[in-house]
Amino acid sequence: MENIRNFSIIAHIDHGKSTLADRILQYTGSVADRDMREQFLDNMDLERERGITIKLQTTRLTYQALDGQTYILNLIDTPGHVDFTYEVSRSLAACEGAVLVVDATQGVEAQTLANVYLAMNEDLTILPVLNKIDLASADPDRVKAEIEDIIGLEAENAPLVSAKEGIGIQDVLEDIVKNVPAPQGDPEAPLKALIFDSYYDNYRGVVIYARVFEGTLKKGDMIRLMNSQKNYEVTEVGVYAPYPQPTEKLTAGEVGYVCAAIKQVADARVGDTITHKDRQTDTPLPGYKKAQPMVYCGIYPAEGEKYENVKDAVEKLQVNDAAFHFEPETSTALGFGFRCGFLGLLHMEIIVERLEREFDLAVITTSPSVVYRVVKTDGTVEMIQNPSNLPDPVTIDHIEEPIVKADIMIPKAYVGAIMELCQDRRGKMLHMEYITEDRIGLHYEMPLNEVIYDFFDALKSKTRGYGSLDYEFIRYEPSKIVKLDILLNKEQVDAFSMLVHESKAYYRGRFVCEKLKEIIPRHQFEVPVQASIGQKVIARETVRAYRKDVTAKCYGGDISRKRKLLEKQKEGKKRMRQFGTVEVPQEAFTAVLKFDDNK
Amino acid sequence: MITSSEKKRNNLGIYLHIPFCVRKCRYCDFLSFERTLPEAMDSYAHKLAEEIAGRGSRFSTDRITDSVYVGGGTPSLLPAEDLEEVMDAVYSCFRVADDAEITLEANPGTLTAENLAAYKSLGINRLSLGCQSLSESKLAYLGRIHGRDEVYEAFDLCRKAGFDNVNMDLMFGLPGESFEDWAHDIFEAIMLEPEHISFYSLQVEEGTEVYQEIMDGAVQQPDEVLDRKMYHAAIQAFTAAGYTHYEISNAAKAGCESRHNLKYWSLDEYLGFGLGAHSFANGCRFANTDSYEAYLSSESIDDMTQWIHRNTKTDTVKEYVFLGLRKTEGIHLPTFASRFGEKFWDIYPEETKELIGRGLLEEQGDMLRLTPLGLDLSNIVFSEYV
Repeated sequence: MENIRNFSIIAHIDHGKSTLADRILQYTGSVADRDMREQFLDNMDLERERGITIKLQTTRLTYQALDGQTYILNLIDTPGHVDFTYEVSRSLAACEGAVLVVDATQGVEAQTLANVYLAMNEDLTILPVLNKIDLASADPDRVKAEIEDIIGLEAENAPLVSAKEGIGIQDVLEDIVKNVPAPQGDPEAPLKALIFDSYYDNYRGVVIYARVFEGTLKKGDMIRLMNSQKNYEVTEVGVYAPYPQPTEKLTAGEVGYVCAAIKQVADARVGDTITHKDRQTDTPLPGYKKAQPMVYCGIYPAEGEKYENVKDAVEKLQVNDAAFHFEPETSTALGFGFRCGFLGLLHMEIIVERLEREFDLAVITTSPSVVYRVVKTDGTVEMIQNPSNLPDPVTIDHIEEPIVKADIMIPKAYVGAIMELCQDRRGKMLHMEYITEDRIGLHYEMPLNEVIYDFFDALKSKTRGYGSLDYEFIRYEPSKIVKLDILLNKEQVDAFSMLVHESKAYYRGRFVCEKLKEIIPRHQFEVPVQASIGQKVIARETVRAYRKDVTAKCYGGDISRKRKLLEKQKEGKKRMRQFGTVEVPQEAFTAVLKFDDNK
Repeated sequence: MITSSEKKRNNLGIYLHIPFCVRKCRYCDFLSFERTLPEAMDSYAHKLAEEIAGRGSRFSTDRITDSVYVGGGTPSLLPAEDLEEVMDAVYSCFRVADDAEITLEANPGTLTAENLAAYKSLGINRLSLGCQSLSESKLAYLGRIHGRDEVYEAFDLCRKAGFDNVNMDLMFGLPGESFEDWAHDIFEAIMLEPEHISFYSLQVEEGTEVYQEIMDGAVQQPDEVLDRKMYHAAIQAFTAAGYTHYEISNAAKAGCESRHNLKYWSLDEYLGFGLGAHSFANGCRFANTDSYEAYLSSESIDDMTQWIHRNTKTDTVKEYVFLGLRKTEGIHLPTFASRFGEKFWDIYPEETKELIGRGLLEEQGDMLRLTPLGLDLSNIVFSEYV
């Protein structure tokens, strides 16, 4: 146990965390060079494409240190996006130390701080590392000063690294070996292990990633998951190095995987404590919480008959993702589907993309919504996350919406643009400050529903990528929320309804009508597209009727070509959703979600 | 004497493709190219004759050929001796009916009294003239090699040579074209008294010069409302002048409907010869290579065939419907039932009910056909049946 080191790498997005992890794998010979590919630990295609880590992976490394001893390093890679705070916190809880990667060209960012605070909450030893020192714009001295001033960490001896070029990797490993404490724990004590991740494997069922704090876990053990209160027999334990290798046991201080023929996907929650059925620990590990979704939307199968497949897929996704919630719901427009809860909009996009790519399903998503607190005249309260469930307006006393505290860091030059953005998004400034000479921190209270759509994208684009954001829920606050409905050919389509602030209703209504006008194909008749609040129409567009769809000439006896064109046309129609007499392409549902600040 | 009435549906059509043109038109994406050297045409004609003999021997000799169509390209560019070689191959390999319809496509500006006389002697009894318009500006826009005068001259030559079955191709809906421009074309066409008129709105095909101009925003096609106004005007005028509008884009004097094109629309069988030619025979669809070099250097019939597809019954039913509905008389439902052993309404109850409800199809007596609105939106109807 003396020679084990459990650590995470934490960083602001794009500061090079995954690249550093790759290099460490390569340096310790865990991955042969020929198997090396960019971002080895990010094994979902989606992650590699987006260059961000969504789901953490863990790997056991063997390192021959300069002191002549061999160490086992358990590297736990963590997600780096603002939506995934809970996953980060659970993986940190499995460690004794964290390597804090700071981009030497950028310095400390909002999520650097947020992650550092998470690590401090877990009492981790934090080792700052300066990355990208090969770049001409790197300024290690300034960034070291920032780390010391803003975070309060000693940074004088922080390793200078270029993960991309493979510079300074050994320094990082030595730093870990010397400064991260070895785990403690009694292998003979009652078992106490933390589930910090899990995923579903078609052959082995749920595979749990666990950190053993006390006791020993072996194949054949009868275990109990303390929060779900269910018992299982362990069928396999092992470690990822980086490929799965079964081992005899996992003992206190170790990190590895556990299979126990767990089929009920909801039973292996991240944050839960594993113990032995017949010799239970007295105290489950702290910090378990069911991650609270902040954003909800409806997910419906694009083709009605695929409901069961979607159900199966969301169940499987849930096991990988403790923060993802779903329950069945019905829409008059879309039929049977699910109301799903997410940490944020990025999280939602990722889940939808995974449904499409990994499960080969076509789904329709409805407008995302935060959870509103509806206080009724009789004093009762309803939590509403589906616009269609909004109670009759005459029974509503007032509606409250969730407010977050948003911490934003930007280069000074963009302060005007970002103040304007925050103001447009109904932000209330708490304070602003200099972080360094040319970087500014802005702190706002902002309604969550203004943040979830595309605030992060807007912040990025308005600061040429240099702005950073972290936010957390603070409270509910009364607000003038109205229900905006969309009517196609005079018929309301519930899947398009949304709850918006009164001041934004006109703008949103007009935007959605314009978008739908572009996207809805022409019909045999004119299709009015209207946005309304109650009975009042606030925006209208018209999809013109088509007059002509004919191939004048069928030449040269080439019937196959003609037939292919007709088949394509028929395929196109299949991807449409029928609302009354109006056909709507599936992309309409996502297109109305993206809105563009420049309009 | 062999007449076409024997086992009519079993009769064969023959299509011969001649891919040469003086110049590629600005809207054209057909399989054709500028190559007018006599040597090139000679070797192509040899190959074509070889293919006719080779492929012809595979088809049962008791089938009667009641239509031959020489299309292109510009078949009238082919020297008379080359055409003779090809036609001789057809006559010697197939049982061509005495009253067969034998059509040659010809472009104004390429016809002479001599070659017309030669066509006549080769048994050609129908000419299809690629006029496209009688307006100088439209012809120039399209990049045709001829002007208005050549169209009149071509008609004159044809009549003098004794051709009494002449088709005229007309195009409308060109960028910048007004209703007025089209009305003049309609009027002058009627005055020329062709037996058959093909009139179609310009289909803008990717890769053509016209396509590029439209994409670049340099010009705009008439909007759909004007396009349909033009189309409806043409149907009215031709009908008033004694033509029958018998297919989406075709009108003819009584008895002068194109037998060859009707084979496509009625799903009768035909053999195509030459570069890129398509066939439907013995229940199979197949096509020749569209590479000129590959065609000329091919060593066998199989070698030049690019693909073969044996139609399933479903394939054939679908094609029968979307092709048959192109005819304004529509589909004869009892014929459908006897040909496929199933009733139309049993196969397509829902689609058909819906399309009738939307006013795109109508059923009258034994016929199911497009309504006038259905003619404008025919692809929507057809796509329900594929």
